[in-house]
Amino acid sequence: MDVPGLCLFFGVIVPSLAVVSFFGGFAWKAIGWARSPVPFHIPITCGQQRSLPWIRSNRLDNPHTPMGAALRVALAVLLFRPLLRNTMTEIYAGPKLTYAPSRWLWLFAVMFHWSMLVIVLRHLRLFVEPVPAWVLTLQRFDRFFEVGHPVIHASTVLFVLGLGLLLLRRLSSPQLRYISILNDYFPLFLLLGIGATGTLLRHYSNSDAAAIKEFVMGLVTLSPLAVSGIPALFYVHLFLVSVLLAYFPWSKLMHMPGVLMSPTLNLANNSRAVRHVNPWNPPVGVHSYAEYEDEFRGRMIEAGLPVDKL
Amino acid sequence: MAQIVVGDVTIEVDEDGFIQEPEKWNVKVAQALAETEYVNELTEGHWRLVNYLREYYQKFGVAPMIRKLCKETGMKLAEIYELFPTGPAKGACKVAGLAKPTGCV
Amino acid sequence: MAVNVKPDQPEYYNHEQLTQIDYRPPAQAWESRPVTIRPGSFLHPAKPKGASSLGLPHPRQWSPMDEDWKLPADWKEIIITGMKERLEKYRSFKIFMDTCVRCGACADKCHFFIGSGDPRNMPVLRAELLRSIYRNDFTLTGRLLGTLAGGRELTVDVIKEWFAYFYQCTECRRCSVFCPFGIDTAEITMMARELLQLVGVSVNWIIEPAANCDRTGNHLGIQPHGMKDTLEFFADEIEELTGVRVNVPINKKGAEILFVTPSGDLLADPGTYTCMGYLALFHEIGLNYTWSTYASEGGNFGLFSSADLMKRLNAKIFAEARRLGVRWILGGECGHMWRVVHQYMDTMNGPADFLDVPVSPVTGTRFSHARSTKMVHIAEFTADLVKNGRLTLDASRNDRLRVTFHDSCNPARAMGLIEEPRAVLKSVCRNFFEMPEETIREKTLCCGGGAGLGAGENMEVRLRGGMARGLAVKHVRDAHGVNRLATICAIDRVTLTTVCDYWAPGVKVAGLHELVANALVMKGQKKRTHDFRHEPLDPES
Repeated sequence: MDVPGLCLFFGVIVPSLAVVSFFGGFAWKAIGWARSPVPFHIPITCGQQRSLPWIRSNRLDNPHTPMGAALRVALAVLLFRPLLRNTMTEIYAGPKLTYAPSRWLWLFAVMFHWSMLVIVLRHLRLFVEPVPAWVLTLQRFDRFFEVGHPVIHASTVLFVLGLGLLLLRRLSSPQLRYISILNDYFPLFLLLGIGATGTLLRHYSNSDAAAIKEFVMGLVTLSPLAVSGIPALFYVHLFLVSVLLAYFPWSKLMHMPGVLMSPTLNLANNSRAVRHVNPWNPPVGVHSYAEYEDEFRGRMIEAGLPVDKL
Repeated sequence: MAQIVVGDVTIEVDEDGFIQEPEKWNVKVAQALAETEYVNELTEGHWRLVNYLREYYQKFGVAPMIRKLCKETGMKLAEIYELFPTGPAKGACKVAGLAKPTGCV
Repeated sequence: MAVNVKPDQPEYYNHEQLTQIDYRPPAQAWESRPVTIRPGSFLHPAKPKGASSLGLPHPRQWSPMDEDWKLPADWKEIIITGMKERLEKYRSFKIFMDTCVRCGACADKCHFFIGSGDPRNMPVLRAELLRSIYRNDFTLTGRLLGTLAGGRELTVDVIKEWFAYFYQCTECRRCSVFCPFGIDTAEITMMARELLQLVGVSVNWIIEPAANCDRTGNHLGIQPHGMKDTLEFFADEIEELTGVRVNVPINKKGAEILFVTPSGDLLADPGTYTCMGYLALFHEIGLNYTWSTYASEGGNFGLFSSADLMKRLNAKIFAEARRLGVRWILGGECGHMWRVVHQYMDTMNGPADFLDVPVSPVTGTRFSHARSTKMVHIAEFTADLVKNGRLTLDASRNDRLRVTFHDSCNPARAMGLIEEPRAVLKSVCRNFFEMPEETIREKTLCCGGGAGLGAGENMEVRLRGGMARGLAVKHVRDAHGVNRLATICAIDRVTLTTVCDYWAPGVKVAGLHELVANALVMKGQKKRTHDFRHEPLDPES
């Protein structure tokens, strides 16, 4: 271990703590969710149920099998399908209401999330030796447009653009501004900072990729090294990423595993066909038929209604 | 809880002015309640409705459905509204000392 | 007639005032903005009588207009403990507290927001009312950073705010359809209402029917002899209209099918016509069935109150099916009833292993999608009859009606019962027009009076909440001359009557089986001259 003080702090201690916070917090939170049961079968159904054989059911939005429900979740996760339904409600004189399709949120969200995924996967080249072929292929695709020197990744552009547009959307809509809290702005700025420092590292600082890889591999193999040729900007980038990782499990960013575990999406609409069990199903005092008949027997007999006890 | 005082009787009423102690109902109470429902004088028509409502309520514990009320009293719904501007469920039932129906009604 | 109208009457509200809606939020942050509780905007609190008969905590006389709500001394502890308990019992609650990103996709999907512009009616903000407390007391960041992490201290004002806004939610789940994570505001509202109930804050429009249901078997408090009287009255009416005397089997042991429907249809017009429709249909197909006076309620106001109360009221249906020895259960037209039957009943009170998988005695169709719960929706049952040609229908009898269909929230978004009622409707009336696509099926707009909000005293909330639906009805009224709104929900039949009278005058509301009965050709019938409302079939003659 031969790393100078500041580098030790920003290059080793902070990232290590962040990784612990990320994995520890993520697991703690997700296990915490999983520890609470799903007492009731409450999927939100869209479209036709499966009932009579001659009525076509909507298998994507109203799945009746666990596989169908998995597909529904997958489409929500991968394609943000519910956001495709989005509309914008407006009121006009008359009064008249309109519900125009509104897919901007879907577009911005897809831009940001998918480019982020590509960027994270691209970064694997710094973490794994030898670099897997698929990472290189992905990178080649990402450099498809061959603009700039070094070539600008399409994902970088989409990432920054997506984030910027999401932020702009949040700031420009009075309703959204009204509901937004610090937790909503902080990750946006953090991610923008990560994107900016990352872009600067690649395009404007004469950073030595080989040196960075050597350093990162040192971290990954739990034997951190002092590596020369790493610009200070790298430590800024790394610090921001560390903050993101550390912050992630304690924030709304947990919507990532949340969507997978959401009982309104991941349950099949088959609750009349297959009984769902509630582990804490409590006994409740029910007013029994016998008690009921005791109160009304006289009137029931008078009205000619059958009774159990005469 | 709010109360109304009629002569020497004090009766608790709910937020909408329906009496909560049906056993304290009498003709004078009916008249007092009628005033709260914009009925200044209880005529024979009013009484036909009120009496039927009370009779039904005493037998069945609830208000009758409106169509049965019309059929049994021989009055059209429009006529009932003329007598009780706030309608049979609110005005007439209140005057007759019934509870306000709740639920899918 | 010079009558001073009061806030509990629709006439009190003029259209112009009600439609001056500004969707832009106010300058003041919601956390510091006081809640206004004014006549027309809130429901009456539960009366001590009903609350104590159900054994609910802290029954008392109080008023939302008072400064002091007479909360129990340890109210704060009760709420926090109650929240903790529910977080441990419901994964949904935990996840919905943690995952919202405040993207705002839900904001303009709520009929109460559309009709009021009140920012707290945006589903995201409605949930934040609870979420802010969750963050403050149950998350690490909230405990450390408080308001910086979006936390908020639990105060009496928060309780008042919860009361105001969780009773301006009809648990319709429209917002959830648009949420990328499926966050279900109904679930959040249900939690909040349970918490409020723990400190004795609940509403009479829910508790009194629930107390009635517990004792007499139905929300309205109809007693067994009264139910018989009512059904016999319907039989008289049917005879008058059709010349056919229908039988009215009640509490009949050994019947094949137990029929359960909301009790509203036994009292309130126009639901009563639907009820007559059931009687006529069952008679015509010779169904071996029975009504029950003990389980005389399909609806379940426990759903709007607490899971325990829901279970308690719902338990009677299976218990009665067992006592009477029926083979399966048929359920009538009701919205929230079917949320309970479809998504809760089997879990809460099953398994119904003493019943058979439902099979239509008329067509032989096996309803295997209901093979565990053993309860079939009447729209499924009748659609099957129609498809198999087992009914003789004269749709021309409904020719003077130009009909549209309102999807009720729960059948649409908790079942997907969408095409069955339409298939029936199209076979019994020839003039059918859909409302705009964004306002039907899973995107259907609530009547504004569900989930216990169908009272009179909160009329402003109901009219605002019903505006979006009302304007969609007005749209088809103006475009296609629609004059009848069909629906399969007892609450709808009552609340939409008010909504249509206000927003789309001229459109009347009907249940599906009222229209079926109009068209149904019955064996031994006389020539029909009037429909089930006693209105002439041919107004010209």
